[in-house]
Amino acid sequence: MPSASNSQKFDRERQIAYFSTCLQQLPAPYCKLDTNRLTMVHFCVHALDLLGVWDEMEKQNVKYSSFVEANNIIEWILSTLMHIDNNDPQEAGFIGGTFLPPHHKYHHSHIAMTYTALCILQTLGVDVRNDPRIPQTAIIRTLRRLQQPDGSFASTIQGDGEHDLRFLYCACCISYLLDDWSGIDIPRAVSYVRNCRSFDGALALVPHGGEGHGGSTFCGVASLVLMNQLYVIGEDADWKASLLHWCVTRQQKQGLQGRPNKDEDTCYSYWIGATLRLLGYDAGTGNEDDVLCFLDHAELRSFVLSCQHPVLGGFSKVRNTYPDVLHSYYSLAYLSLSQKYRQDTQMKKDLEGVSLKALNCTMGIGQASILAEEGFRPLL
Amino acid sequence: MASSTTTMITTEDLPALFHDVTPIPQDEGPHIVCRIDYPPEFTIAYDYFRALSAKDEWSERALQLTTLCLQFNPANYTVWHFRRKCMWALLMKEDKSIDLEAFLVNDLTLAAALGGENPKNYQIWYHRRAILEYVEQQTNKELFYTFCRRELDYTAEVFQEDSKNYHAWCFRQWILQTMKAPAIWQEEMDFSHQMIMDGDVRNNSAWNQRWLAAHRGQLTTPLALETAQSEADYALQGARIDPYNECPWRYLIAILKEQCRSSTMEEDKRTWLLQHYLDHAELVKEVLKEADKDPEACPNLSAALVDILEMKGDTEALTHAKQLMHYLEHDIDPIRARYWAFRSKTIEQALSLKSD
Repeated sequence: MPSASNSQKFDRERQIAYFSTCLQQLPAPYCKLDTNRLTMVHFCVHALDLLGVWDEMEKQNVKYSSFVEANNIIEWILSTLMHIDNNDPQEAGFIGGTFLPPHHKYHHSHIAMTYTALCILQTLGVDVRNDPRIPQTAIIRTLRRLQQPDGSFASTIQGDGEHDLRFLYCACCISYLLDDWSGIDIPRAVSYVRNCRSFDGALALVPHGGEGHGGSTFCGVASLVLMNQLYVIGEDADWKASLLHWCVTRQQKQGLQGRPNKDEDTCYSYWIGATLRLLGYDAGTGNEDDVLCFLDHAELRSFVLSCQHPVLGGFSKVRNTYPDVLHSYYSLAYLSLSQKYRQDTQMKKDLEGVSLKALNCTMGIGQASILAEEGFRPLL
Repeated sequence: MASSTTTMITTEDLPALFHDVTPIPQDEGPHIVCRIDYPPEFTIAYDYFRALSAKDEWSERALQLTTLCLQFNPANYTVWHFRRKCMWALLMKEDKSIDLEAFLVNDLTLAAALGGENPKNYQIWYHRRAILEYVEQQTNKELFYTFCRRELDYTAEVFQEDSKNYHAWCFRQWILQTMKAPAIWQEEMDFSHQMIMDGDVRNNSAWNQRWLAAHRGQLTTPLALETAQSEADYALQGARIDPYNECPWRYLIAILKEQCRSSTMEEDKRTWLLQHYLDHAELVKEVLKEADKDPEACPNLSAALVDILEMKGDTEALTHAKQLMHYLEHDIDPIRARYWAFRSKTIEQALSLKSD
């Protein structure tokens, strides 16, 4: 039974205030995310998108005071684009912020920043496939350079950093958005994902023994979906069964944990919720075997909403602490995903008639950003 | 020449130390998005970093500057990259006046100091690995092993603070696999045993580590039957401590599945193995009875029985599995009711195929 005492009502206005404030200004502790600012922009822009704010502003002429304008965001992001003539004409992509000047010797693109930059631009109305300001071919060429012999991806061409499943996911998202798969050796990438399989059927961040984890499980499964290779799990009855069991067993009391015997944490409601949705989808038939319903959404929603900050808005990782941008976004993403399960009356009360835009759970952004009508391959 | 990375400079030192360098301010452009409220010292340090790295000056003072910058933001991968360039350049100097081991130990100490408040920072963990890779490539096996052992000890220290630190476990695995010393795996069996039985029987990272160690780092080769039985017995030992704990049950199932998948396993051996562990899994119910708990109401135990019964696959086993799933769905694991209903349907289909 959902515990009514700690379940709050979804507060759309407060959520808009939280994300729009963050989009303008982040407090000092975020200087540790200085090189990742673009990911903060990504979360804020896409949260406001799911909340319907950009649509309201554009189509219904709703005015929000002290808002960062979409065009300004686009300009700022484009200013983080590595200039093709900078050092290495073969490289292109985005860097996570403005911490290095554009022509600086160490100004190299970072794969996760390229992924988030393209997502944000696409959502804000830039046609990333065709816009001349974006060096599509060079970005894909850069991907090819980033891929390692074991199939994984480095994040920068300097290669002086970790390689793991996160960056493979980024590579797949970039390729999907630009509709160009020549940058990825797919068989190698698939073998990397396979090697990340842990003893209990989940996916680890790194291969050959890593521990199964909710975040990496999502990255691996979503990568397979994007590469059109989900059948490698689908055709392995053992793997599919153990992965499914692992995912559904992450719900212990209310929320989802990222690994067995860890604490529940709001972001896993997205990582694991989205994974389940993807696992249940048969690309061949286009049918959705609704395995996402294997979770108890009334309890999960109750947990997520209990992590909504009553004053600041946003969502925290666990109850009774401060929100952060990442957990806030993934909580919202989960709430969008869970809208399908509106049958129970608690759900109606929780979201109080508020509709969030549909989420594309493979890409982790709004479905409306990547419409089939605009040439995007349909994805869940 | 002692490494001066131990001399921690402050922003006040910067103008004098870099009197010949013009700081480069950050240009955020006319429209700032997600503006960060940088502390003033942060801005000063990074203004100098932008300038110094643009000149690619790999020197002692550059190293000191990166130390300062990393204190402000230990996640700046460009600063770490530049720092390593300084380090390797200094170590490669013709005069060879730097004691390599002391120099690198110093950096590992710095990384540990930064890691204290940032235990989940990817860049700090990667720096430790980069240092080890340098030692492996540039020195000898003996020194490399010395460093490896120290790093294994370091991860053990980190586990005192957080026994499930994902980065620490990944790094530990990387060290073991890079050492390529077969004997290390038995040590790791002992370590995982300690982490499980003395530490926390519910530590999934430790059980995961045991899986790797039991396989001697060769995950594509199934365990020999004798080892598999030993590990399955170990899992049951873990399960008896707390039958509600998911880890030992999943470990047991993984062992059995691996054996059953193995092409070298004969049919009668397989049958024996599954029956044996089915019986012994059932016996764990005694622990529950002794504790006045309902032996039929332990979800992870019942889920394990269900999996073994499905592996057995005969009509009687599947029928039994279906009954267990019914309890799981309706009584003992209601949060996963829909999942158990789905699995029941699968069993029903398998049963109806058998009766055809």
